Amino acid sequence: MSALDSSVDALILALRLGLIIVLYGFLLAVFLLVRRELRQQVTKPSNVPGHLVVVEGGSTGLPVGHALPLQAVTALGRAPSCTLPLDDSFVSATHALLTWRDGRWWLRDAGSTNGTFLNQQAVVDGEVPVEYGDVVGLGRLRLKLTP
Amino acid sequence: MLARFRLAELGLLAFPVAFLGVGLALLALVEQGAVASPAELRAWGPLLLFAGLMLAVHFALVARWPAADQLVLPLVAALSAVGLLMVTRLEPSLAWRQGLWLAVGSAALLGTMFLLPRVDWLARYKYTWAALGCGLVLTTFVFGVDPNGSGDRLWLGARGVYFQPSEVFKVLLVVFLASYLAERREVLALVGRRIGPVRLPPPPYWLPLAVIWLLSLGLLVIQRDLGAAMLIFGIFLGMLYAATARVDYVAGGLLLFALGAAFAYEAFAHVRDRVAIWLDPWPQAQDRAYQLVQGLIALGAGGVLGAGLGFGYPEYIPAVHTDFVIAAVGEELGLLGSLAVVALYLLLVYRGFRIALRAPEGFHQLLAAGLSTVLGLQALIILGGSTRVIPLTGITLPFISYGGSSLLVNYAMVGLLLRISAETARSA
Amino acid sequence: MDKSISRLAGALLLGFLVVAGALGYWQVVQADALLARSNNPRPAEEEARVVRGRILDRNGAVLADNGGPNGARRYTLPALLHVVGYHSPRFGSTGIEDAYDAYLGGRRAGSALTQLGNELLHRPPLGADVTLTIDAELSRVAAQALGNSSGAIVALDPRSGEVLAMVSAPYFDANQLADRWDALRDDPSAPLVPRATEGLYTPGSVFKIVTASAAVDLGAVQLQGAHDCTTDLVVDGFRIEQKNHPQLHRVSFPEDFAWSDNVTFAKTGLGLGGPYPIDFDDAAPRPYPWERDGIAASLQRFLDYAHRFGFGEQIPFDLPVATSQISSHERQMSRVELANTAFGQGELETTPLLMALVGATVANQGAMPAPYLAAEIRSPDGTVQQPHHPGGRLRQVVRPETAAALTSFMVLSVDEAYARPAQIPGVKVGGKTGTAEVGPGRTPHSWFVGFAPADNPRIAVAAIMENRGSGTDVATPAARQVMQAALTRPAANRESPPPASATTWAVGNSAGIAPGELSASGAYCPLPRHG
Repeated sequence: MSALDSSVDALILALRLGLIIVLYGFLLAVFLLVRRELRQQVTKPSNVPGHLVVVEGGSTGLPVGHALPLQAVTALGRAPSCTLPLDDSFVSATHALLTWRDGRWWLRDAGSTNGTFLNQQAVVDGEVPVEYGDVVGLGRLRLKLTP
Repeated sequence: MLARFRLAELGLLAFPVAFLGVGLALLALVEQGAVASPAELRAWGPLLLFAGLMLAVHFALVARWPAADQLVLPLVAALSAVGLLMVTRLEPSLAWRQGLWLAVGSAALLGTMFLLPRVDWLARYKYTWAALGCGLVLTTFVFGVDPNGSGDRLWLGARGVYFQPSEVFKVLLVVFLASYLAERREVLALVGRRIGPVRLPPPPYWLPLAVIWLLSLGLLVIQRDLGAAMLIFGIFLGMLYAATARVDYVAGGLLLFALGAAFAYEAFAHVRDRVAIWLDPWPQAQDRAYQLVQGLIALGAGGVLGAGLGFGYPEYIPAVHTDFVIAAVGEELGLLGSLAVVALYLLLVYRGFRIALRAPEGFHQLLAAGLSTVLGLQALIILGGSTRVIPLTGITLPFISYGGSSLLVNYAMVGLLLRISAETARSA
Repeated sequence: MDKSISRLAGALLLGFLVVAGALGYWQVVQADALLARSNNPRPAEEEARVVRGRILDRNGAVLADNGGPNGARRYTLPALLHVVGYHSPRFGSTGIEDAYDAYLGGRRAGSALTQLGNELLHRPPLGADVTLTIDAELSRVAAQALGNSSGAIVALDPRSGEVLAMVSAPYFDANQLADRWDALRDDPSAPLVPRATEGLYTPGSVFKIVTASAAVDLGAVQLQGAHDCTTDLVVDGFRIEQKNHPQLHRVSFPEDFAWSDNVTFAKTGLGLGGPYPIDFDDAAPRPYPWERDGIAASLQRFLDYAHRFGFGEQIPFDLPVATSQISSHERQMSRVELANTAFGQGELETTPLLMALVGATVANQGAMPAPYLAAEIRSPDGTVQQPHHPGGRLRQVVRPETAAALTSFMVLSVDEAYARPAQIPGVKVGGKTGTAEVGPGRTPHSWFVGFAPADNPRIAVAAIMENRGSGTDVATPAARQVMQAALTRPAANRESPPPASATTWAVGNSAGIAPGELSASGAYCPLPRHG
């Protein structure tokens, strides 16, 4: 009796090997494709176009001209949990909300003590649209919306 | 050019088909000592069906959504192939049924892709989905039946056709949460009101949380469906975190979960049992912990290379073709096989999240992230339970376990993911 | 939201890594522990598929095969229970079934390539057949000779070392093991103990073979000449009674042996330190040399020869053998203890197998044969292995001249003295009886050690029957039956095989090979027990 005494046995061994090879070959192929994909990095189109550039920094210490990044929903205020924490003594804990929706920016006051201003005009009720170049005022800060 | 014809997907699909073919041939050799000739179509039915379905989906995508992600379908196909092979090995009488459900699943996949006007359409009816989902779950509370005799009334249906509403519920939940959270994320980004020393989150946060918490508990208590409870809660917390980036919300949610779990542990014997079995299965290895212990022994018996397809002893593991499939994979295909399965899930989840990150912010992102979380978390819960990382629960391993409703719903979710991927590419 | 989504993905991916780790843990790290658990059904399943090899006697008669219901193991000769053993998933394995389990169970059957193929393809293993040196027919005779007594009979060929019969009583039918397990285990007569190899008994006078061999080999005694032998011996207040044959008052040393005189042998043990020759006469001058000089030298030489005869050492054998002992504190024995031990009492404990080997040593010109049971292993693929070869020797214990002298003593014992029931018509038989005291109020053990034919021995036997009293009356006739039957069997009529390498021995002075060198020259090559 030899080690492989029939073609069936040999075939079984071959297929067992083949099964694992196919499985790991698949994983390898996927891995290679993913790697190739990562190399050809396509930067995700930023669908939140906008920054707030510091015009006046108040007591935050932010330099003039510094660009603050924006999220689709950006909470501005003194509390550290805000999206954009701004440490000025005349800024409330949650002061204002800047939102990107339907292709434009919207500003609303979030119940602040000293009020939120758009181009010197107070934002009182609900949301107002903001365009590039507009200046948002809160506390002693002046921030300009730029693309 | 390549992208237009989805050649990467086509090429990759060859592997799962080959895997199934080799596997079925091997099984035939081991069990009967001979392989049916290629001419005997009936014997090769499952393979032809599988290949046909995958190709059909592939060509449908080529025709209508060529820009969708090309790796998702092959990954799902690979998992489905493993599933079909294991069902053929463990319960041959159910193999054709599994194949049938694969067909239904493929139809569901194509259905969600083709019949949905826009992904955003789903967002409009969020409360409908929510109501539907809750209604389904509540119905099982009352009318649930138990066709498998496992003691848990998780099913609705009659006369041999059953489906598990908790499966549908999880999708509805994801869709609802995605649109709800996307809409309210501005408010949620705000810090909540103070009540004494505690920062209470705003009502939009804790209202649905309370409802979901109650539902999970209900699932746990009335239905004894520990796995579904874990899954639902996990989905909720995951999506909440994704939407708000607030770790404290997640922490609060986990705390509530812990409280609920502690309550359940104190109040309900079956929860205590599950935990006891998880912490120390060995003293009860012959009665309550039998399934887990036999599963672990099977894993040990597999070693690295496995005993070989058809050479293990899965008959000693109860429900091996549903809950404990990974033990059979581990025993017969070894650590190599079980790690490959884990890798497949890992890649699928990665792919889903990649689709999420590339999608337009808001509903699409959250939906894709949520769907990926469902698939990943479900796999993790059952894999973790089978390997004693967490207590064992009775949910299915997506695409691999035998089970029609699970397969159907998971394929529909994949369809949704592909649709999001396609729409993202189209609008870019 | 990108960041939080990525973090969520990261958490899930981490979860998968944990699961992967857990899988590695169970499938690799804990694999052996898991498989060893009692609730693992796989070993039983694998066992059930094994076609176990058979165990055969030297003539091919089946001792164990798979002829039971549903292919269960079947044993044909209950008398050989303690040799063949049993193999039970529930109760374990013993005997040859255990010692050669790897071969019988197909794990070591055939070439390495075949075994690899079996493993990879999960072929039902086919076990190898094991052929023993045992003669089933002779074993039946031995069992019959034992009758209802507890004890053992061991019969081997002193030239080759083949064990032809080895029966331990009480025995039982291994086919009924499962039904009778509890009763067997609780039975005070201990039927599960293999007495031939693991029973330890006081030898009594059969041990005088050892003492006499030591004395003769050292030249410590005069073989001719007589001495007065009527008085008791008192050693440190302990009285050794003179229980000579009443008709004999002047005896020679050989007669002392044949009539099993305790006083003479006590003096022999005490006097081994010199001066030679030892004066056995009643009127020997006092103080005795050992009273004057102590027994250090005597004890040293006595122990030396006892060890050479295998006491205190592990006898290499297919089955486990209990180690026979001289004393619990042999280096610190007192004079009284040495005296008692020299004539076969004291704390002496020996196995029946070792006493058979002692007899075989005398029969085999002073060379202790290497005993064995398994002659041949035949694999299903045709491969044949011989785990042992006939003619191996453990060591040259005493010089051939010494053995010749002892042979004459033992022939004398059979022809004229206590071993008369061992006589076989037409054959010269050598033997020694023993009646071993085992404590006040208890019946002594009945012993016999001997061989035949004395001039060219083909069979050596040791028989012990527990608590049956006189060696002459009980064990000797039993042993005679076995020897007589053995001489008519084909095995015994074979030509003597040449010793594996005769030139190894230093003929002349057996002190050339030290005690403890219990490795045989020649082809004694025991195979590992478990594969």
